[in-house]
Amino acid sequence: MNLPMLPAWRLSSRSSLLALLPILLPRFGAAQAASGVSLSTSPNPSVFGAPVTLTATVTPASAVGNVTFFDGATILGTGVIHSGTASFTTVLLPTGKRRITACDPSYSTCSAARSSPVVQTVTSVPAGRFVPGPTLTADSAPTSITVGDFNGAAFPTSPWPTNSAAMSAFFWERWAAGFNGR
Amino acid sequence: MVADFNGDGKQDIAVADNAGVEILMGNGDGTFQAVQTFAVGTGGVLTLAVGDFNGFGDPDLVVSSLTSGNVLMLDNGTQMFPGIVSSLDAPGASWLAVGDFNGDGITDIALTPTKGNGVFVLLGSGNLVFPQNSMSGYPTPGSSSSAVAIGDFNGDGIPDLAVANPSNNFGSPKVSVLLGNGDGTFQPAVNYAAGNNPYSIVFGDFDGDGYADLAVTSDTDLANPPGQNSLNVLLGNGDGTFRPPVSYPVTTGAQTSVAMGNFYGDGRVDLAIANVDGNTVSIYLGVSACDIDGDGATNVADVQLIVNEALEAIPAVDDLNGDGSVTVADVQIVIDAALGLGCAAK
Repeated sequence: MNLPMLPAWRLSSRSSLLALLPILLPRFGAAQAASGVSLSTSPNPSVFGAPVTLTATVTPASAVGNVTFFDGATILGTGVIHSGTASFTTVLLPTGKRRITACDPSYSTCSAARSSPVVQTVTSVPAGRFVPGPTLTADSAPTSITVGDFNGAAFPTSPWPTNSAAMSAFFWERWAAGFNGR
Repeated sequence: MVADFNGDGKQDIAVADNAGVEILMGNGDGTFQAVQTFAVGTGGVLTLAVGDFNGFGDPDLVVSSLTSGNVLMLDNGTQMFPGIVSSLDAPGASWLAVGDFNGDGITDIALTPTKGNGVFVLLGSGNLVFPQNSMSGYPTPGSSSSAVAIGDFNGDGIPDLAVANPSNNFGSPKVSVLLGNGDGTFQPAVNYAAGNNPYSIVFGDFDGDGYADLAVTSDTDLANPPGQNSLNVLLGNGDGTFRPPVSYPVTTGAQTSVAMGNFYGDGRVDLAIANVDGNTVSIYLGVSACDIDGDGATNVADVQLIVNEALEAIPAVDDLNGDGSVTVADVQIVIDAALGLGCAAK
């Protein structure tokens, strides 16, 4: 069997082997056709910061692996396929009309086999202005900051100055004292 | 940058470092494992972004080499970031961001250069390789650009770009907005004032009207006269244009990075700002325009404050109806809000 020419780096990775499956399996007659993925979100619309659950339905239902969820080109996270469905819940969707898609990369690449997009509308409660809130002591000279849900509490989201690894415990102490009580 | 790099369902952090890329694997409880450092050639990394550049569903990395300025691609497959997959000769990258600019389902890259100004767009091929001819540049004012935010600013479903240009220090500071055409190209920059030395930028719907707004922070160091730094907010009109900035003075020195989140849980957009000079993180909470004291509620205390403003004829501090001064009409707006009738501020 002639295999397609692939760069060496691809042949050395798990992903590269997955990429060959659509080519190999049909020729052996042992595989089902490339899986299909459909997507639903709930609730839609949602309020900024509130949990939104993304659910992918995968065919065939016997499929195993993970589904990756995207907001546009941004990877949101993955969900494990159980009985043909995989879900992922996030509180981090930005405001606006988000173009959410899901992909089961087991049979093909995400660029080739994504679900149809679901437009998730994330609305915010109007704010007329900003007022200074808590000031947190960071490690030396924080140059960059990002937001994530690091403790899985799904609320609240948390800022993180990314030049500091040693700040974790202190930050979370301050978080509990400063943010939740405001 | 945040992503689940090891696929355990917990959020991890990637940090650009002089030694390469540092990954902090999250434990899912707010703590992190010891830093793992991934070498990127022989040099350090200035900045990075996360994206699925080869379509396999894993969070790969694009990084900017601290030494060469090249854009380097790192694969997250069976082995996490084993080495440089490809390199693109670029004018450095002070900021990297990802989007799908031509709608082909393949992740593209936008960057602001360390050498010169403008914004560059790299269209992906889906294989972690960005050929030299995949890059196109768009000019912005001044001599340098520091950050780019990707959002849909005119509601057409196509990613647009907003660029911070700090080189316009004290002259004609600018934020540039480039609307996407949907085919990977962008329209010429339209420029807006945004305080001194605009450095970092983020978008969100701050006023709840459904349109993307911009928040911009300054990077004017403490050696400059006090009051030169500010947080500037540009409300969007929904058609890709923005209103003049509303400026919030800050006293913490240079603010090198801004991110948004819902930190108070009230559905409003809040901001988190890194203060590189002050070794602090400042939180700015979004509040109702009728919440005069900013305590999270509109009540009799706010009515008293707006009455005081009206009596003292303070111009436009809490000019809720936008008529140019604080009057009894503004007081009525706050009273209505305190009575639970909603805040009718414009």
